[in-house]
Amino acid sequence: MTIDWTAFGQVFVVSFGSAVTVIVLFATGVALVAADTAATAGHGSRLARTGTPTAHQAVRSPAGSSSGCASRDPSRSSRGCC
Amino acid sequence: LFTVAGLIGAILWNLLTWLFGLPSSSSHALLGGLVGSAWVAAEAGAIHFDTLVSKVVIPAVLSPVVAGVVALTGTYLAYRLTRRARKEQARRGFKTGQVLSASMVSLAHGTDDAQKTMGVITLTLITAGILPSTASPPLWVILSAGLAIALGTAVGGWRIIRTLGKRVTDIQTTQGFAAETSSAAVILVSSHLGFPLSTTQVCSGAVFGAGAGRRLAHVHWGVAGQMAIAWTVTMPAAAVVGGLAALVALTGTLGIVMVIVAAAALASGIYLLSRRQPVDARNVNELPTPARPVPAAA
Repeated sequence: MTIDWTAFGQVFVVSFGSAVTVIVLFATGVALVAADTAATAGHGSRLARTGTPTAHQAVRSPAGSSSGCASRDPSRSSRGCC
Repeated sequence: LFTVAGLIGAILWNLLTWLFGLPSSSSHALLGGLVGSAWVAAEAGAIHFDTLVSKVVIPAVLSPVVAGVVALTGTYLAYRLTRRARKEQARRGFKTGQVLSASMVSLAHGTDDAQKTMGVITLTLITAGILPSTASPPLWVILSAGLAIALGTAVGGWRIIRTLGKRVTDIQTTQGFAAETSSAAVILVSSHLGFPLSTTQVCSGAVFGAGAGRRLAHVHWGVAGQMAIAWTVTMPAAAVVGGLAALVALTGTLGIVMVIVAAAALASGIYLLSRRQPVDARNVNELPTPARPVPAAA
């Protein structure tokens, strides 16, 4: 009985390389797209803590955490930003 | 005749594991059924056991491990890269990616499993003298195999989806994307190099890998044990059913009729049993809750 271990190795290396490359590239893309929103949300959150809501904040995140925090409404504290 | 007997063995075993929601390999069931019926029809000498071990058994053991390692690495890296991203935004991104990765798995499934189905139908046509021995699969065979796989996936896949999507681990979109991409890569590379892998085992291994890539404790390894048992038993069980079907069918026309009627009755019985607890799009995410112990009377 002959087992072609080289071919198994080839399957592993090629599939590992191709799958991990695709996943890393896609995840990097997702991270880049989501980072902009995260930065905006973080910025809004910081502004909210200082109690100085801005027009930018109101426009960029009308229903997000920043507007809720800016109102200093204790009932919104469950969102974890105030 | 022995091809039909082998098919019956494979179909019945597949239906039985489907009833229990266990993703067993249809490829191995098919091979097991054919081995069993060929053994009965033409003695054990007709079976190339060396080839069976090197081309089927060893890949069956290695392929889920390979897919699992690839998916584990991919899932870990995907979570690592998106750890600072907003969860909802990342979830939506990977959900979109899953449309592509799931399509790739479908394509990979076609390059692997549909070929086997086409091969069996063509083999039957050749042995029946309908096609010459050098013929390629006719177009209607190719279309029928593709259509049957698509229909089966669309109509009957919910039990397996529940097992892989909820019982093994609670799959998130990041894990789903990583598992599907890994499965597609492993199957496509194997098909390209001529390895007849089981897509079921590759996808199951990838789901376990994706579960372990997020957090080891999230994976229900008990389900892995059940699957491993089903995978181990698949070939021998399908071989026994295929062998029995061949044994009865070889007695003559009455035997053939008996085999077909018995197979149809068993398949219908399994289907009716499945209707007692139907699983579909409405309840696929609901796991059956274990019965609560009745409190003792005071």
